[in-house]
Amino acid sequence: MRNSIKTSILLILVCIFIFNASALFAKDNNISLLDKANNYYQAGKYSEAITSYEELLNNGIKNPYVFYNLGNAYNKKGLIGKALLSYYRAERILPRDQDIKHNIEFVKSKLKDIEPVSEKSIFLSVYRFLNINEWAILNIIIFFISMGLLFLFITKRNEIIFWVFFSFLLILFISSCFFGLKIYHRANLVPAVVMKAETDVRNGPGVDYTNCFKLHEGSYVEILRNEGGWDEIKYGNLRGWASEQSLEKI
Amino acid sequence: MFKSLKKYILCLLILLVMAGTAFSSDDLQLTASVDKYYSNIGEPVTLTVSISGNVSNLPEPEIAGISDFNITYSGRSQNITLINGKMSSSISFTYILFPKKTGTYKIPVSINYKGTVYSANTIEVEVQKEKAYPTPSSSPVSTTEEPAQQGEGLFVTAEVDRKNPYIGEQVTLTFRFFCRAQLLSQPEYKAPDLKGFWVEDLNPQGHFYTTIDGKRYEVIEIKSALFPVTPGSLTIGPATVRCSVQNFSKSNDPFQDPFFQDYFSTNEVKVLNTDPIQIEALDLPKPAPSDFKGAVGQFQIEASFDKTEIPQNEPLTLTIKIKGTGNINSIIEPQLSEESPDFKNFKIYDTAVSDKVSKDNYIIGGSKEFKIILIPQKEGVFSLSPINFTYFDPQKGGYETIKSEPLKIKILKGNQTSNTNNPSDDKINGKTVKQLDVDVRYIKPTPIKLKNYTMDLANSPLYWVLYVFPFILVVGTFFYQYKKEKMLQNIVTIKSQRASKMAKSYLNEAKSYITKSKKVEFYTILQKSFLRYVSDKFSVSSQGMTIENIIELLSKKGIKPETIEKLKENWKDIEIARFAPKDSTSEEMKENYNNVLSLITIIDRECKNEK
Repeated sequence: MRNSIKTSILLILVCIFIFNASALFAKDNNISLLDKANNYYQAGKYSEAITSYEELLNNGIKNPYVFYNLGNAYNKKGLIGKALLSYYRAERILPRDQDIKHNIEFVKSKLKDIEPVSEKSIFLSVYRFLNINEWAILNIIIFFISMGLLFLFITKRNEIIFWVFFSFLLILFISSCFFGLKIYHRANLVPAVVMKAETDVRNGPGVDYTNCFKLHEGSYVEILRNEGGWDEIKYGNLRGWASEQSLEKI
Repeated sequence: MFKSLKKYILCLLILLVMAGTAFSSDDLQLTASVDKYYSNIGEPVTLTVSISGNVSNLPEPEIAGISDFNITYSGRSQNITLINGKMSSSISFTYILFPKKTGTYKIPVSINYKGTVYSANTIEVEVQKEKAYPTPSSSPVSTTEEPAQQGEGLFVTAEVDRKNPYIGEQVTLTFRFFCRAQLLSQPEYKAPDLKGFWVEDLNPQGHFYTTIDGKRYEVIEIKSALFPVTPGSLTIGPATVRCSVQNFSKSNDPFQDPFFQDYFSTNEVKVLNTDPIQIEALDLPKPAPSDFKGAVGQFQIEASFDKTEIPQNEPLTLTIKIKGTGNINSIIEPQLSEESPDFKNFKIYDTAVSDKVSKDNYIIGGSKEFKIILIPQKEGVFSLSPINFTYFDPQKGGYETIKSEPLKIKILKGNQTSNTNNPSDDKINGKTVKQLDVDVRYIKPTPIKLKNYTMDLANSPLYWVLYVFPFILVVGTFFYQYKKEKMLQNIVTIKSQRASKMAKSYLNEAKSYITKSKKVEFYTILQKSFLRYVSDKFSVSSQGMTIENIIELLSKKGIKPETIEKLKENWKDIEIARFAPKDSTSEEMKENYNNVLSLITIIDRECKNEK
């Protein structure tokens, strides 16, 4: 009896070890793949680099450095639509990275369409400063602090404590608004990039509707809804319908 | 008597019939209209009479015979409309009137229906003399006339003014319809197939009269401008005219008399075609000059700036105007090279194009304007060298290059805009064009650990559960505190309620000292009991409580001033008795005891009343 228990425990441990080892191994695999891709890029073999980066992404790796490097490779090949798409994906994860921002600006200068005037506000700058995970963490930290202060107040009944708690409550409220907005936008405002060299944006979801305006590769749009293979998009102040194949979501 | 009855019945019947007709009043409405109120001798006028109402079995309306018109009945048509369920119908009768003499004529129209005569509005037509039209005997370079059909007074011709044009050179196609017969409807013209040509219609249509072989014909002329697009053989297809004419029977019928012709004629639809015309379009001589972009014709060029002097960084408009004869539409903007020394100090932006096409004398021409926006970058005086425009002149058979006059422009020193910290930034129409570094930033190196950013913290339930814990903790603490306080409060309440009872038990202890004549102990306990009572009753600490504290407390708690006075007095007595050297009698002690007791009772009562 004892022996069988021992062996079964040993067996379980071995399984766990193998599982972890394989996970580690897989990760190692990905790192070597990234290395390979980067080497291709350094050697100037951009098509091979692109293939390797894409393979990495297919393995399920969502890493901003991979997106960024892939964007660079696409840019070298002149595929500005795909380049911007990759850069935007990287920016979503690392919103404060200056390299990503710089490259986006550079590639955007090659765009055919005039960029719609974007409002600059403090609200927007703060909103974009953190990615959604960072907002989540910030929110919960402020929440914990507020709760701690409330706890103190209940036990100590000090006026100073109350005002500190109240101010943290305000900060929590503001932070929750930003966080909530990020969650809402993630679900409802789908940003996308135009992939086709030139695409007609129409007044309705179908080819029989008249043309509203034209967009070219690389332009950043927001998808509002989808109907029968057509996406209703917003480009600055303009709205229209574009065929869903001409866009790719970020 | 019988006779008079018959007469009476007959009269009644007649009356009834008349009434009957009166009641079944078939109201008809007649409207007469003509297609033109002014006509010329020989030019037909179409008269349409519309009758609406109870229109079954209508006879033909009568047009009072006017000897100065030849009137021909053209037909009737019925029109039924259904509007909101109501049906109304109308019948139209068409007549063709051929004026024979000049003058103004009234045309009365009436119809006799079921005994009633209905009249239409009277139409007045004025007939003028024949218009004198130039005959087409002096047509320009007419090569071959190809009449399509002879006979019966109808034929069509189509001719071109040149058969060997260069590509892009105007060929004028003239189509003519000759008509001697009386037309019963507007002729329909179908344009020929013009594949291989760029076509522009030439207006207006010509309309005149001419005499051929002693016979007078009415002529309708339609001109089009054709520009061959490709060299080689091109065909102008047949043009078609459809019309309906009166058919005059050709038999030697004794009844073939003009008198009878008007009444015994039928309608016939005729279709006439022209023969196709072959055109040989010549290709332009090669080699063509490098800046030739396809313009064919005769042109002039003009260039101008909209200002003579302008500050830096402000938009300047260069207008290039090309005018002349030829296909204006096909002119392409003359190129301004950014590398040319002229434009080294300018940034070239958008061009706006507008054109005006003229069709005077049936020749296509006009002008095309190119407005180019330039932004001068440097101050100074610059001159724009002449702008070249090369075209092919088919009349000369060669290429011509025309130049605009050289232009001078003075650029003043610009206002210093806030953007000057980066001199390579340009701003126009809100779009900032940045001169950035040459390339994108380099790729990021491979990290030691490849982290996977799933960014789904907001989606994980564990995250949201974490919010719940501190919240529960705090709420729990809150309730706990609340309960505790409530309990304390209860204790206090209970203590307060039992204060007098407790005091009485203390006082009992004091009582024992009366009998024992232990003055000091008695008075000490008496006072202590009272203090304790106050402490319990009002939940204040009895430590270091003095009579002044008590008085203050009691007045704060709303005890009546009389009671407080009483307390003061009694306390004074007690103090005196306690600290006096002589002994206190038991009566004194009892008296003080009762005083304290009554005080306690009074205070208790007053507190109760307060509540």
